[in-house]
Amino acid sequence: MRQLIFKAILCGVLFVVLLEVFARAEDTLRWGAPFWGHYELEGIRHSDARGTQRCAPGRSYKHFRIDERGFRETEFAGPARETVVWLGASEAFGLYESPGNDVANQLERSLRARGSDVDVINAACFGMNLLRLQRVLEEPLLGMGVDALMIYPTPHFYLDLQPVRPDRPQPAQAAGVGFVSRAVTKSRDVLKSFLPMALQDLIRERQEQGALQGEVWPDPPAERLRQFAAHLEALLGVAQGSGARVAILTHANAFHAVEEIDESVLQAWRKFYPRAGGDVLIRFDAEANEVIRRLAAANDVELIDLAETVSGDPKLFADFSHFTDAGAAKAANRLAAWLAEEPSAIE
Amino acid sequence: MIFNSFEFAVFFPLVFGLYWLLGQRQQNVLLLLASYFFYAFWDWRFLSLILLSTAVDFVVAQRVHAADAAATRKRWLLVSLIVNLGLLGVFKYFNFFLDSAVVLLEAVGLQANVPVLQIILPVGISFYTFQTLSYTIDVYRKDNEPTTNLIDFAVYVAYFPQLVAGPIERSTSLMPQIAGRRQFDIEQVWSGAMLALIGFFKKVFVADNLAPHVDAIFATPDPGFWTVVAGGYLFAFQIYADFSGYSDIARGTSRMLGVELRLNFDFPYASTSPQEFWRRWHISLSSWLRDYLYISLGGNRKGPVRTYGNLMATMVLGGLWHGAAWNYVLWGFYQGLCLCVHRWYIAHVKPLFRQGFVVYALKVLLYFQFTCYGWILFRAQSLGQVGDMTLGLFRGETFDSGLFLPLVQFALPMLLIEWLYTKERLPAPDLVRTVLYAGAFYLFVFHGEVSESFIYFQF
Repeated sequence: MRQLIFKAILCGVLFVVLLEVFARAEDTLRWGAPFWGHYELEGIRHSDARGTQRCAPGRSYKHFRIDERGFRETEFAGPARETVVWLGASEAFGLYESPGNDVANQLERSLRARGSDVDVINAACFGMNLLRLQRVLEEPLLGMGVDALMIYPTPHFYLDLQPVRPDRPQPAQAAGVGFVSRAVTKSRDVLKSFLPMALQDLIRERQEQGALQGEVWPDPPAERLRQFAAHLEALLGVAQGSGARVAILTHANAFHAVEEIDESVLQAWRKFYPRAGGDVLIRFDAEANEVIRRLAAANDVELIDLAETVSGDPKLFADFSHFTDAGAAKAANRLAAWLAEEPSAIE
Repeated sequence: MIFNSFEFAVFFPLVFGLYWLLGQRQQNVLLLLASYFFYAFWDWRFLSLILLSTAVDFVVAQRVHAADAAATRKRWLLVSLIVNLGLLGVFKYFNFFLDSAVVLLEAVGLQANVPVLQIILPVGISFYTFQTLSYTIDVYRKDNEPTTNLIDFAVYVAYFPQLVAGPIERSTSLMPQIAGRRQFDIEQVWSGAMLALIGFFKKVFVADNLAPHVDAIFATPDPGFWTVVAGGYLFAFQIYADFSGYSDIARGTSRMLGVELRLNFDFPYASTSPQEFWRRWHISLSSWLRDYLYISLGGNRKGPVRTYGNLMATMVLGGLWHGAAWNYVLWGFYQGLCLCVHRWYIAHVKPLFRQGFVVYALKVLLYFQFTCYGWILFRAQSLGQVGDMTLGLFRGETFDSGLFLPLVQFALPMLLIEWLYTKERLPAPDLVRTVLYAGAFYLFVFHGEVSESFIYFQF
C-alpha cells in the first residue's frame, strides 16, 4: 500500500511537471519564446528612457511582434512613399484579431490593393492612455515624417481607481523574478471558456468587489471627463503641430445603448474599473465621445465617428471594446475611406 | 448532457463520490436516478420512451420465461419487437419513409398530399432499443434468465455511461455486474480515469479539430481527386476519434463505477478485409447484428446464395440503423457488397503471395482505401454529393500537401498515443504511461476544440 501511495505521488508530481514542460516547450517551438523565465503579454511593454510605458523594441509574445522601432509589425515593412500612423491602446493594437487581421494590417492591405505605396505603422500599444500617446507622438513619431495620423483614444482608462498621471522613470527591475507557471496560466484561459456564463459573472463580480477602493460612481465622474478632455486637447495640439493630416476617432464599444446591454459583457468590462458601477462605463464612453466630437470641431481636426458606425454589433467585438476580425475590417474600411478622400495624402 | 461539458464535469464527480459511499442496492438506485437525470438534461419528455421500453421488456421477458408453449413465447417476443422497433420506426424512420414514398409517387406522376410531422429524434434511441431487445431475445433463446428486480433492469436499460451512444451491452454481461456487488478498487478507478482521459483526448483534440477541415472539404464544389481522397482520410479519423473516444469515455467512467463495458473498437484501420473490419469497428453493434439479425435470417447455414443475401440484408439494415437517409442505406449496401466480394474471393481465389509483414501492410493499406470510400458515402449530405465526390476521384488536381496536414497534426498523435496506451510494449510502463497521459491531457485541454455533440448521437 505504501509503495502504491509513493508511486501515485511520484506519478502525480511527474504529471504536473510534465504539463509545465510541455507548456514551455510549446511556447519555445511555436513562438520562439525562452524556455525559462517569464513569458506573458505584459512582457512586450516596457518603461522607456523617459519613463513612458510603451511597446518595447524587438520584443514579442506569441504572434504579437514588436519591430525595432517599438511598433507592432505589419505584413509590409519596407520604405514607402507615404507613412500613415495608427495610434491608440489595445483596441488599436489588436488583441483578439487573428494574425494579420488587426486594423493596421487590414488597412495596409486595403490601401496597397488600391495601388497606394503606403506604410501603415501600428504605433498602438495596450494600456496607452492619452498622456502616453502624446509622449510616443513627440518621440519618436514626429521625427519620422508622418503623412497621416489617426488617433483612437480609449476613454475608460480615465475611470481607473486613480486618475491618469504622467509616467515617471522607473528604476530598472530584474526581469522574470519569481516562478509563474505557464500551465496554470493556460489552464485559467481554458477554464474561462469552459465555465458557464453565470458562474463567470459571479466570479467577475467578486473580483470587482475585491478590487474596489473608494466609492462607486453612480454617474460618470465629471472631473475624470474633464481630465480626459484636457489630455485630448493637448494631444491634438501636438498632433497638429506635426504637419500630418490628423483624424480622431470616437471610441466604439459593444453596447449600442444603455437600454440594450449584455450584462455579462458589461460585467467583464467593469471588473477592470470597479468604481464604475452599473452602466457608468457605457455612459462615460458616450460622454467622452461627445468630448471627442466637440474638440475635433474646435481644433479643426477631422473626425471619424467610428462609434456611430460599429457600436453595439456583437459580431464586431470580441469583448466590450476589442475588435474581432470583422470589427477590425470595418474600422479599416472607415480609415481607408477617410485616407482616400484626399488623394494628395494617399494615392 | 454530453461528456465534454461543464455539466458533466460537475455531475460525474458528484455521482462518483456518492456512489462509493453507498451499499449495492442504494448504488443501483443512485445509478438509475443519475441516468434518468443525465438523459432528462437533454430532453425530459423522451424519458417516457425509455420508461416504456423498460416496462415492456421487463414484463415481456418474464412472460416469455414463464410460458411453456413455443407459440406463447413467440407472441410475447413479438410484443417486445413491435414496441421497440415501433418506437424506432415512428421516431427515427417515419418521416424518411414518408418522404421517400412521396418522391416515389411523384416520380410516377402521382401527386401525394401527406401530413408532415415534426418528429424529433430522441438521442440514443437506436442504442437502448437494441439493448433491451437483446435482453428479451436472450431470454427467449434461453441464453439468459429474466431479472425480477425492476431497478436492476431499469439501470441496465438506462445506464448513463453508455446510454446515448453505446457500447450496446448484452444482458449476459451487464446484468450480472449490475445485480452483483462492486468493490472499490483504486487501481480500477485510476485505470478507468485514464481510459476516459484517452477518450476525451480523441474526441476533443482529434475529432473536433479535424471537423472543420472535413466540413470544408465536403463543402467544396466540384472537388478533385486529392480533395476527395483527403476528405475520405480525414473523415475516417474524425469519425473514429469521435466514436471510439465516446466509447472510451463510456468505458472509463463505467470502470470507475466498478462496471466493465465491452471493447467497442480494436484498431479497425489495421484490418486487411471487410470481415476483419467489422470484427474491429463498433464491435457491439456488428456482433449484435450478427447474433440477432444475420443468424436469425439463417446466417451461412442455407447455402451460398442465401448467405450472400443475408449478408446484404444485414448490412443494409445496419446502414439504415445509422440514420434515416439514403446515403446510409447506400453505405450499408456498399459494406454488404465488400463482405460478399471478399467472401467469394477467399472461397475461390488462391492467395497470390505468401503471408508476411509487407503483404499484410499492403492489404491494410488497400482495404483502408475501400473503408475511406465507404466513409465518403457515409458523410455525404445527399446522394447527389455521393455522385459528385465519386466523380471527383476522376477529376485531375494538383497535389496539395496542406489538405493532408491535419492527419499529421491530429491523427498521427492519436495513433501513437493509442498504440502506446493499448499495447503496453514499452519498458518502465508507469513512467512512460505518465508521460503519455500528461501528453494526452495537455493536447486535450490546451488544444482541444469543443463541439456540441458526438457524431454517433444522431444515430
